[in-house]
Amino acid sequence: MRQKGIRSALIYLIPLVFFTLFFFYPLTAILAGGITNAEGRFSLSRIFQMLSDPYYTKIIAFTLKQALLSTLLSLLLGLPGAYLLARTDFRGKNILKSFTTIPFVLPSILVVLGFVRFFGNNGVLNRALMGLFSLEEPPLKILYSLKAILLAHAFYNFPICIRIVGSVWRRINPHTEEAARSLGARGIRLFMRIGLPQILPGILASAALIFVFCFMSFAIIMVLGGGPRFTTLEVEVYRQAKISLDLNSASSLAIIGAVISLLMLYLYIKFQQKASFAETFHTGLEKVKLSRIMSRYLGIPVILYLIFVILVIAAPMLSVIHYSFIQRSGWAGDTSFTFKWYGQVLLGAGGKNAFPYLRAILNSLFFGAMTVLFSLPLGTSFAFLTVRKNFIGKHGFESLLMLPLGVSAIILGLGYLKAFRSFPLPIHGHWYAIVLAHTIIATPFVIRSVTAVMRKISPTLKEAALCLGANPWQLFWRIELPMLRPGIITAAAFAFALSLGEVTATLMLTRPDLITIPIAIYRLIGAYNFQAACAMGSLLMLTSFAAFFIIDRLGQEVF
Amino acid sequence: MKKLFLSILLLSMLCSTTLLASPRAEKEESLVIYAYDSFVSEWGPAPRIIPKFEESYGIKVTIHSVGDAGQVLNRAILEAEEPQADILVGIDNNLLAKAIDAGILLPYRSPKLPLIPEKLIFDPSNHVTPFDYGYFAFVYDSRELEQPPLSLEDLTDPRFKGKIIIEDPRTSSPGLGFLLWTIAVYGEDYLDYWEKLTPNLLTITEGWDTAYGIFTSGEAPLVLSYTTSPAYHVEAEQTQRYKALIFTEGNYLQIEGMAIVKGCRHVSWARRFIDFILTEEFQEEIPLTNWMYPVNPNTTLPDSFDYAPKPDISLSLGSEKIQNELERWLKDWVKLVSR
Repeated sequence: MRQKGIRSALIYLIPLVFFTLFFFYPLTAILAGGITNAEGRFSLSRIFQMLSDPYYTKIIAFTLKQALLSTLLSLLLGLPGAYLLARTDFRGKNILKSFTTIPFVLPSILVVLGFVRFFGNNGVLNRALMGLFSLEEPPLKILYSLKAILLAHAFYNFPICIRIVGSVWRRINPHTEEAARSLGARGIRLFMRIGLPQILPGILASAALIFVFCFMSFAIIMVLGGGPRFTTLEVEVYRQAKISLDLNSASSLAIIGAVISLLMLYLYIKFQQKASFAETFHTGLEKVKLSRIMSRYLGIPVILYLIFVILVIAAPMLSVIHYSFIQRSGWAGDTSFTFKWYGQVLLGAGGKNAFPYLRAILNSLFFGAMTVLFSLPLGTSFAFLTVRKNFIGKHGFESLLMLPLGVSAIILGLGYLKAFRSFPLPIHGHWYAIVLAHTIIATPFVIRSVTAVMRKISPTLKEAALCLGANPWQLFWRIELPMLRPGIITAAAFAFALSLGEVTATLMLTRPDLITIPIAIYRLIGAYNFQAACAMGSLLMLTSFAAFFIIDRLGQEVF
Repeated sequence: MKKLFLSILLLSMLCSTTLLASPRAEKEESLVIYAYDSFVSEWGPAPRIIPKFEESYGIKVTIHSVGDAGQVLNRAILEAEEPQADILVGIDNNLLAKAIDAGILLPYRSPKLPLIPEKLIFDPSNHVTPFDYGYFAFVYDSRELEQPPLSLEDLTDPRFKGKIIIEDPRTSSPGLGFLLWTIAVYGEDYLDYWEKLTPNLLTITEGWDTAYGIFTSGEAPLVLSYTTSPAYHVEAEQTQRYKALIFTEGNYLQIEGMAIVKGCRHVSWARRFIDFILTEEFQEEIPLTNWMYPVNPNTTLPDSFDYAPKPDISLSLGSEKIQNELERWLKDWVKLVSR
């Protein structure tokens, strides 16, 4: 008994130590500056000053408002997709699944560029409409407004809902629904009374993640919003850290942001636990062929939904891909079709300044794989800790584990610098530092995805297995892990995506031969070469698509 | 199938070892430079000037990309007690006061300094040595705009409604440059100017990247950029479609400099490097990699720079004044523009 206790304690202790050392320690190192005054003593005066300044309260209010609205929109858009994913089967489902996860990987500059090139006043949509109806002015002035912000956020984030809710939906007990049906429940009532409560933990888990992402959103809000009217807390953190160079004020603001995020996360997590009920579940949830649904009255909304999804997701991405095949030349700067940007980024062809970024692709894949490798066990063990054990402040602890997403990457990067300055650990310029940073950022995702599914597993199943003679390892590998499979696949896909798309922390820790695709993209843009940057972006989309496809496939066959 | 999974795992671990076989951080002593990312980028000056320096002076160099110029300074301030870098790149005339106040710089007056025109030496105390300069300017699409604005005042004309893209001074260096430009011209009445200008703005972006990206995508015919932007298009695309505007009130000047870190490990090497950056060997690489003007007037400019106009009047605000007033200016600006 004692041996078991030590072993399980170790399993929980190692991830805790890891997280504390590589996240909480650097974080407190930098945030300490936010709660000190001019003399260097503990003081909340700066924070109180900010909270009583209407300039900041207005910003905080807006940040909350847009995050909540974006979350709502993402959930609404994602739920039908989650249903289709979990409960139906159709040709090309796996392709659609991988496809909808791609936006998550794109650096925000390409998201913005894609959106503007398609939905903008001079974008594809408006120009097509103007040509079709011979209009003078662009008819759909969607951009540079709040709705543009919400739309872009939904584009980015609704795959989270699709995947996480989908993975929970695959584990529900279908007999409950059948029983309800036999008792006369139909349609909306059936969904509201039976379906919704069953997937609620998934909804709340994805809501927590989406909320935090939107809360921290930065470039999208500024450009697509149109101006400082739509300022968020993150903008002010950036301002203090990058322009005013007042790290203490930046830290104070980051603390305010982190506390608010924590509060919201705490609420989500608490509700997630409340809403979760264990079910005797089904591993082989029967999937309906989509063609069957299409022939019924549900067919039209499904088709409309799919068209809408493809439009909103594909259009900006295709705009980016399209830009990668364009070159400008001649006095009037007319555009023409070309493959040369791909030649440039892959082979270094053309011009004395050309530089091949093949290495960047390999590096990105490497970091992605390592991030998955590290964050899956880390996140899963935290998931076990929070679901299976009970201790005081458990929800608070779980919220703290989500913090990597709720803290500006700039702040974290500065934290690493401050904390590991005189530490024997050489952080800067080593590949494992980047893997570390990516792992920390990916872990909250893994935890959310896995706990959403884990809470549905009835502990009686575990007890039954133990009764029948399974030892803890067998229990874990043969029973629990397979049950968690959909949650883990989702976690793996997103961990990979997060790593592939991460740029801020990576930039702080990189060295020349460690550059990744997003860094290459930003460098090309900095050198005025938007087309080549879009070419890299297209390659990024391609590699992530392939990776998601493989992860999904692997997941289905391994367990 | 478990075998498949395990073999893929093993394969990726093998890949990781081949990647680790890449050159590791040098153990030998070298001159350590912190610079902003576009300086270190494959497309920036570093890959061209570092080999030149190493060959000419026989000193090994390690250059680190630290984000942007503000980050370079931040990092140096954080490391003040145990400086890791010898040289800081990117301290401009706006950041100067902050840098000197932080007390992390070692003054050095290079013997090559007389090569540089007096007006470009923006730090009389020689903590920071200039290496390039540029002017902010509005760039316009000549295919879409036949009558471009000729002055700041002209920009507020209603015919430009929704046609101007600028960057936010809170998060972007050109954005800040433009705000300071309006203050240099209008003084404390700058807010009145902005009140007239705001209806003409299409959007205010977080940085130059997005601003220029949506400009070249045709969203609006005017964008805040640099006088040297047209040179890129001439050089790389052979097009004169995009032109820069010189305003009658003048254009705002940005001078970039490098500095030696106080208490650094290789002071004499650092001094050699500062000497080096003022020579033609270094300066001739600046135009086509940093898209700025070299401070050394003897440097030959590429032909494409004929399309980068030079303003008659160059404006700038004192670094001290900026440091004292910036917070207030930014806050007032945000309040006005948010209405």
